[in-house]
Amino acid sequence: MNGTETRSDEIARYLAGVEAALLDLPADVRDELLEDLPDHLAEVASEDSGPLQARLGSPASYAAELRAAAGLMSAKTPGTGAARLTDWLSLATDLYRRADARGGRLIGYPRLSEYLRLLRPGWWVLRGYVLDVVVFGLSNRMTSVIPLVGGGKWLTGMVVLLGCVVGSVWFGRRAGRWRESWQRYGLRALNLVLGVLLIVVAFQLSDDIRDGWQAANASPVSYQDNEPSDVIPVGSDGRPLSGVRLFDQNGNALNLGDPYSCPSAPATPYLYPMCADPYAAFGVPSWWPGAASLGPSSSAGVQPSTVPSTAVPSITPTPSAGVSATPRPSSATPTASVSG
Amino acid sequence: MPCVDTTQLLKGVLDLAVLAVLREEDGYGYDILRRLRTAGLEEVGDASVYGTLRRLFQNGLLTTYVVPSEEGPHRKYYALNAAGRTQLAQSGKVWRSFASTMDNLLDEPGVAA
Repeated sequence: MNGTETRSDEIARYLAGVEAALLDLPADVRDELLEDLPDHLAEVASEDSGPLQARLGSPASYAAELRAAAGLMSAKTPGTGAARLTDWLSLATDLYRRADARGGRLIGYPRLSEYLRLLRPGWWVLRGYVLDVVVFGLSNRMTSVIPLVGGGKWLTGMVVLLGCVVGSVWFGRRAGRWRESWQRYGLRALNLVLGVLLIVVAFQLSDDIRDGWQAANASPVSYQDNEPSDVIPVGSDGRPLSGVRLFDQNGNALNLGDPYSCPSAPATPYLYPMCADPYAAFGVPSWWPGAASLGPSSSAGVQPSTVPSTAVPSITPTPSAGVSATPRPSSATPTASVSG
Repeated sequence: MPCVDTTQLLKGVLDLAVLAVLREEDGYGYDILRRLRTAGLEEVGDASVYGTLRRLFQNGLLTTYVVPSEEGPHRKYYALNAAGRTQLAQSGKVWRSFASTMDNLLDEPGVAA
């Protein structure tokens, strides 16, 4: 097949669809009912270049109309809702069959489902692992790829995992012999749930592994969720300072805040205040004359107070924007060297 | 109810319409469908016509015969038989009286024409 279906293929397919929907009728009645249909479809097709289904509706609904007009009620007596459902089902089955055949052709099998059937034992093993993770792993945080059971022991974890896998394989072999439709549908539903859980487990696992990596590489200064995005230094006279660098007691630069949180990126990162108009944070616009002196209560707004007591930063104001490379451990009074 | 559903009306009178179409001239399925559509019953469904033909035939109101054709497939023609003509006359009467009852109902004062 070269992708496009010929007109006679389309007619044959439509005919087969109508016939399939009338399978519950006795063969002679059905044959008589369908006697004129091939000619009719050929005539419709020759008059109308569009798809048959657009003109005549789905094969299932055509069959239902034919059946109703001929006075042949089906055993199921499809109401309008039921007829619509069967239409949808027939359409879905049709799409599934086409995808199955087309997908199979891509990988050199008659049907995709045939190939997937070969992979079934692999799925049983994977299913056992998913079961293990869901039952024993998701209840507490996954710290390893294998859920550690019984006080975080590898050995017990491995034994439990092996048990789950063996159980899943045993169950898969046994369920393969099931013939009752409710059993087969139940099995499909279970596999679907576990398949979805497999995706969840994969995401959870990658998240936990990343979290673990981040925890191992976290910076020593930790603010948890309360990390400041900027530092706004204010002198003892209540005047805001600018071009300020921060150092800890050992003379290491304290790079607090996030330069990317500013509306526009600062020219030099970690030169405080980093953001162009930080005083808006106090609810006072910078052009307001009083903005320069925030009053006696201004010390409450000084951000470095959130720094943990273990790392007392010494504010080192620099008069210009120039870099002061030498850390000065003693705290300087900033009043005299305020610029601007 | 928003308005009169023509497909619902059609269901009740399709037998009569098919019989009437066959009164003048015999016809095959698609031909009968075309005649009904040309006559103004545009909403009639393909499958409904074929199903109706089959039921009327089953009830002994129609006869069929096959006509070989040169260019296309052989066609099954439908024709009215005596029972079919009687049925057409009776159903026609029922329809006329029903239609006139409806007309009277609609012509009564208070109902817009």
